Amino acid sequence: MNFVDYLVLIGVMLGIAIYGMWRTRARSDLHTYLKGEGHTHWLTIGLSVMATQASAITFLSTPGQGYESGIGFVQNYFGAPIALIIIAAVFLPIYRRLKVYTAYEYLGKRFDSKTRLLGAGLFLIQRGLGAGITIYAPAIVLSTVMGWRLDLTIVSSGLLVVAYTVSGGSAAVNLTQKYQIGVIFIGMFAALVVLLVKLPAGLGFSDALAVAGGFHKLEAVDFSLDPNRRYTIWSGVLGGMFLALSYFGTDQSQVQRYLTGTSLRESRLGLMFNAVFKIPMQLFILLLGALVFVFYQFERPPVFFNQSAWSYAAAHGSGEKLHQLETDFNSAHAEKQFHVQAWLAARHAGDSAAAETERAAALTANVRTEAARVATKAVLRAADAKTITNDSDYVFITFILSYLPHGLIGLLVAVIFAATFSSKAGELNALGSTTVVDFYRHVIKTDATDRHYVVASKCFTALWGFIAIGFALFATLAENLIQATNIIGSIFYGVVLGLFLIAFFLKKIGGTAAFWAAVIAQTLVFIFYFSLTISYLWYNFIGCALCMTLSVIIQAFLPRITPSDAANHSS
Amino acid sequence: MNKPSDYPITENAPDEATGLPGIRAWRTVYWIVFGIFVLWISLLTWLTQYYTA
Repeated sequence: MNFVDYLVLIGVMLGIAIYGMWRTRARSDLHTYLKGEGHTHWLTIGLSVMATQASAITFLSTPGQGYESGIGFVQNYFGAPIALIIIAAVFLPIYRRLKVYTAYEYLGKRFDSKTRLLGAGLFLIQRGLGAGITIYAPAIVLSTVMGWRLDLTIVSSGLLVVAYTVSGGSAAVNLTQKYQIGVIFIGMFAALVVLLVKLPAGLGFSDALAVAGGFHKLEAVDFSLDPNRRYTIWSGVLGGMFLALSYFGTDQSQVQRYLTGTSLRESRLGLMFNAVFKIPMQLFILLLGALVFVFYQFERPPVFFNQSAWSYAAAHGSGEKLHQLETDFNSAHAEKQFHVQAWLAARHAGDSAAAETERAAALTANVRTEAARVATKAVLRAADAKTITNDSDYVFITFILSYLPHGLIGLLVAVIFAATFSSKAGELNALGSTTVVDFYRHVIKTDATDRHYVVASKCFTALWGFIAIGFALFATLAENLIQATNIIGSIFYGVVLGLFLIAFFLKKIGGTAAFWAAVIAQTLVFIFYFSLTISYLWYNFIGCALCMTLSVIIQAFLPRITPSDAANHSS
Repeated sequence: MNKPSDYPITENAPDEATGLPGIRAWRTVYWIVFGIFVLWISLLTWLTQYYTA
């Protein structure tokens, strides 16, 4: 990165943050601080919901997924449109009718205080853990690639987002997210244009798709019934629907976004905006990764994308082995490149038999490049046991830094920070709100002034920010970053969703049965996670189903809820 | 606790109108969104089959 890149990066990020703080200064009552001015337009809500979910991980890790495994990860989002329709039709009218600040307040109204605290507590645990990853994930990748100090990257980016979130509350989060998602869209579109321009002359979009498809990168839908396969249409629609129902419907970081709408209409349209654009947006990012893969069939990629780890091992006794493996990799890649070009020439000539022969030869050469990569990872691990050998998170940033023009590099790094800030702000806002509304105001100090609660909200938001920064400073991750986030969510979300579905649909279940069902179901989900090998998406369904079933069984041994209780609860 | 009668929201309330040209009911909006979802799945299934060697 040069001076122009830093100018673009700092200008964009500071500009949005300062504008957000200035526009939303002097929020003094709790309602405005937690819910904004109450006149948020549906498009702002839609973009805000999108920005909260699309963290930096989305833009670093998802193209890496597309590069390495193809676009099959898109199935993870198949359940989202259905879930968003259910939320708009069922959840949203109830939240708005009861005028709640947090989703867990509803559990208190429907059940009892302990169930509300359990729901809020599970949210704080899983979102608190996720918040650390949100800030750590981009910092580790950027600091490694750019040579920045990791601790300074985490602390400086963390403090900036804490500053404007604490200052302006929900309104500042919504406002800044709108501009941040704008930067993200512009940056990603620019990356696609550059990528297409940089493909070899004569290689059109159709050829690029053919190459990606030939290497099995365009297998978007998998109808396999094997539960151990991580992404299939079934796990995506069913498990993904439960994940999305839970995330969009019961996670305060999302609920808080759409409760800021002027009316039920604005909130619903904001959700429908996401139901329509969620799948194409994820597909676009994954396809970008698959096209980066195609690009690297004509340009030699590094044998291992985390070049810092490679250089460290090379300088500490493994240099000879690594250079030999690099030579093997380069030789196999040159052979692959030759066969890919021959394959495309045969394809253009309409010789399908020759095209198939050359494609098979290219795939064989690809097996050799992969073997060299696997051997390289083994050497890196032997040199330093702490080395993370999953380098897919480094693919897209390596491409950006190596092939994009200056200025645009700064913009794309700004995309990563914008995404970090937008999701981080939504999370902190929700963590602070839940702590104050569901714990502090509900249990600890029940009769203070509005002003007191605003100050408390600011203090707790800042506290969660500092906890996230602290967690990020000491975190290490072995999983692909976006998967790590989804795994943590899936472990907790199913049970929380179960609580809400009991509240909405099982009118005869009381608070005690729901509470103990949730406790037992969460314990069982932990046990299953550490003992089974099924796709993590299924835990959303399992946790929810266990919680609902157990609540019915437990309720059978408890006194019945009176009709008046049920009538009150249903409201 | 707030009861439903405190916040009357009916099918005819302004809050419930979709405000979209030609679409009166939210149910229609949901069916359109669901139709778009089915279209995406179909397109991706076609993409998978077309490019699977």
